[in-house]
Amino acid sequence: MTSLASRWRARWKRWLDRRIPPAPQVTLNHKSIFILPTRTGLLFTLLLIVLLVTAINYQNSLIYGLTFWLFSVSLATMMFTFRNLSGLTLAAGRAYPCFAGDVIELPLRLIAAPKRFHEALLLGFPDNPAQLTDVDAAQTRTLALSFRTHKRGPLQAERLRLDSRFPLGLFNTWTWIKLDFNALVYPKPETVPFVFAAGEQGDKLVGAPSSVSGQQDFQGLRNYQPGDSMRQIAWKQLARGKGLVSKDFDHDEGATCWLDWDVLAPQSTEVRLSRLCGWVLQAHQLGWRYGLRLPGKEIAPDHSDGHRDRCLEALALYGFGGGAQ
Amino acid sequence: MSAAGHPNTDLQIPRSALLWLLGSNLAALLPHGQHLPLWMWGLALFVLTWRGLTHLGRLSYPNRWAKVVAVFVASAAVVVAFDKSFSLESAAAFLIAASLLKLLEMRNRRDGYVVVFLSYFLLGTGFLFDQSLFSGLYGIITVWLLTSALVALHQNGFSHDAQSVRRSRRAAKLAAAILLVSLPLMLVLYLLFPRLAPLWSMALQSGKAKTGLSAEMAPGDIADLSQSDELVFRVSFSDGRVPPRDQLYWRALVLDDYDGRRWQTSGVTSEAQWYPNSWQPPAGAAGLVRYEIIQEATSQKWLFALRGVAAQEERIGMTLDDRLVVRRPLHERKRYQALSWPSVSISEEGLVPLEQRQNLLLPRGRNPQTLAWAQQRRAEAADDAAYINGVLRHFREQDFHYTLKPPLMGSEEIDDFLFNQRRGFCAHYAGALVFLARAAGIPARVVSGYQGGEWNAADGYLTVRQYDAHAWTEVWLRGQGWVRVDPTAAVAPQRIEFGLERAVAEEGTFLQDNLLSPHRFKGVSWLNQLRMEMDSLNYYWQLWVLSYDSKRQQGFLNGVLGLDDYQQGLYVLGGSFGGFFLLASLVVWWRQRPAPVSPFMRSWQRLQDKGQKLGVEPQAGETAGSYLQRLEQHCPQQQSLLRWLAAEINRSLYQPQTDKQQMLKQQRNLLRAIARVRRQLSAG
Repeated sequence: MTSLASRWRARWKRWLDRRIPPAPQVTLNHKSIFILPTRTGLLFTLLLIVLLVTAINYQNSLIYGLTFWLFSVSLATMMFTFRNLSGLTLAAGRAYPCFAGDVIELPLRLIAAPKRFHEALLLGFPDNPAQLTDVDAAQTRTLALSFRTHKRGPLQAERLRLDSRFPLGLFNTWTWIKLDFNALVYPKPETVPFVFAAGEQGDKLVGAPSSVSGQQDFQGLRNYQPGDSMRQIAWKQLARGKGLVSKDFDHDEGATCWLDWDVLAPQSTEVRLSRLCGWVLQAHQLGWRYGLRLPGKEIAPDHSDGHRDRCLEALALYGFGGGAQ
Repeated sequence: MSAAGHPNTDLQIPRSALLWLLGSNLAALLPHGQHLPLWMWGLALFVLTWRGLTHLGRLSYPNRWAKVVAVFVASAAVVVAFDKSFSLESAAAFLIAASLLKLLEMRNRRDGYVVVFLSYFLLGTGFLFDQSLFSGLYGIITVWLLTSALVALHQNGFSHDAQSVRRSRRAAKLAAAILLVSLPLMLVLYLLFPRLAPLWSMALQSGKAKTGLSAEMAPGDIADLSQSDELVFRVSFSDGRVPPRDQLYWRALVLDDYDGRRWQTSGVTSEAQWYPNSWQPPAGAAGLVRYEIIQEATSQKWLFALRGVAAQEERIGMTLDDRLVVRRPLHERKRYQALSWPSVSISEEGLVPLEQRQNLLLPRGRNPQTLAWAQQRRAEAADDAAYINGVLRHFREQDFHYTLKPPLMGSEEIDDFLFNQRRGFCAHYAGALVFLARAAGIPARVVSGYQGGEWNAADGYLTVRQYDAHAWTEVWLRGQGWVRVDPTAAVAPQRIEFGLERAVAEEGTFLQDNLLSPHRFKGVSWLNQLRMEMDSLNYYWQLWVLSYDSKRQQGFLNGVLGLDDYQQGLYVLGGSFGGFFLLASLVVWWRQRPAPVSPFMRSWQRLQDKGQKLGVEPQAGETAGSYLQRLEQHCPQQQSLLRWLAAEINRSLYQPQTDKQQMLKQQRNLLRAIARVRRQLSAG
């Protein structure tokens, strides 16, 4: 049973991929819009039948007129409901990276057709909360859609669903859109004690006075240098108008380490990546200079926000051939 | 793949939609005002106030017990108010109570649907009570309000309140657009949808007593009827052959049974022959009158027709006493055609014994004075006709008065009327004449119906109202058959010639209980003009909208569309549907058609296709110059040509000729240049 259902689901997905291929930007048209009557529509049909029977039995022309008018309205509303989606453009924005398992906020731009007000659009990923929004004619609205990530790597967002019953609720029109969000999902960080790589220079923390504790004492202020952590910036000084100044800590000056893939054997790939991720974050916080060794990739020791991001990116993209620069 | 468990229906009602819902529901209720008990308005007010306070956050929603109690109390109140009678009014009241209570408890969108749909139905049932032009126009507005409410229900209510006015305006506009777009299809359906006969007879009818003639007549009844200006029927004559006014005796009932107080129908002659088996006048008969009547609902089985009538339609029959009847009481307006031959003589050979006996019957021992007087006068007269004329002369010459306010008669009514009071309305005279005739051995009967009517010269139709109600007499004379004798004409000839208003002008009793009736002001010419035009408007409304039935539909299919039968009509219906969708799809396609590509772009894309074959993939967002540069790296032998083309393109884009001729020439040159490069690329 389940296999049959899943086979159908797979077939449905393939069909959708052919019909509405993934793209950074999709403009909705008759190819990508689905429409069906709702349960309210069925209730409305019941109303029409009751009205028609009343008209026939009482031979009442005005009730006939009302019935036919409402019937015509129900047909016309199909067109209006369709129009509410048609012409709308959905474009993926650039999202900040996040860690696997976190909820990522995906920026989605909704661009209205030149002369059309798209009203009461309900958007969201399945199993994630949906949002209700309007887009005025020729305007653009940016939404942040929440999406719970599961796997590290380039973000593989599911198809998002866009629904609308506007204007009369007799028809539901919807679409499943797959957008290429250009976002990275880092491995889920796992905090474990450091194990340093054996061999030449990576086997231990080099030149670290407070290697174990990681205690850092405030030393004084110095001018801001590009690459300083946001954490280091002396915000109070900035607020007093003394310009950008960094707090200098008695950190493990020159402390250098290598975070190595091989020391984590024989764990599985994902576990290793998670632990490496945790170490990168810790090392960064401690202010060390750290390098990262992955099979086929090596990042020399350094310490800066940019360096950290590079390391995390390497971890995220490990195994995704195209991602490794 | 529809949205099961989708939050769409569980959404809260947007704040701006609430006002729409309350307002439009109230609009759908208003037409029911005339037949609702007063406390229903109290309930409406209570519900609206409570719901309004809930909206403002002052009160909470009713809890479950409050709801149960409210439903119970409202139902009980309806049952009590309508005296346990099951009528259209009580059913409507139930519906209204239900919609009001729903209004009170509605919370989410699904409740909103129920309220709006109930209101649509309420609007429909409102038409069962009132189908006037005004009610139709009001219905249009209500449909618009309700549809706006439905739109508002789907609007995004989460944006802040400051926009709610704008949002409401948009809802109203959109609803109007939807209704207008649907109008053509509605008209096609209205004209072509088959008008079926009632699927079953509705047990549910209005409990309100209809004014109008009743099956029996006491002398004062018709005088009461004369105080009403309500419409009874309208007649149009074909070929413009309108009989003179004194021939317009619209027969409805034959009353041949007198119990000393009331006249009623004995039933001896009410057997009917149904069309097409009924009597028809000979084809070439002189003086045939063909006419069409649109009759208001009477809740009775009789129709109105002139003398010598023949049934012309299915489900209409003619009785032995020369009237038209239908099988079921008429609870709706009815439109029918009739053919009369007023000069025909009926039963001239003699009467069936039973009919003769019935038409000579008098209550035993009543009105002895009249009996004696009649027998004496008959003995003095040469024949029956001379005797009747003598009686009429007596009415004319003695001090008899025609009055809407007859005095109360004693127990021997006719004696009292003829010999003491001598003041009466048509029913008194008709009754007295029949009594006098029967007393003299002449078969006679009272006929009630309407006489005259108001002729609308502009649009050529006759309007008959309740105050045209009349009663007259028919006597059977050997060799002539049934002959109409109207004693009122002898007493008050103006009644026949000009109508009731003129006949009672001196007395001032015309519509005196109906002070605001526009019919009282026929003397004020502009007011009368206005009234006549309104009446014409109503007439056309009835003619084209209200009485559009299967027969009229057939006529429309034949006459206007030139279709022979209903099957062709169905094709037209199907065709219109198809056309509607085709048109809609065409519009959609036209609005989404790809933008035309300029000749330059077309040519440039062909060049890029060529380049792609050579291995230079065009990139998204790449300029022509940059692409040509990459092409140049790929085939260096074409360097000079490619650079020349890049320069040409740049010149044409950034330094266009201002002169139109020059510009066209420049564009042509550019296309030629691109084509040349393409050829070179294929060659090299």
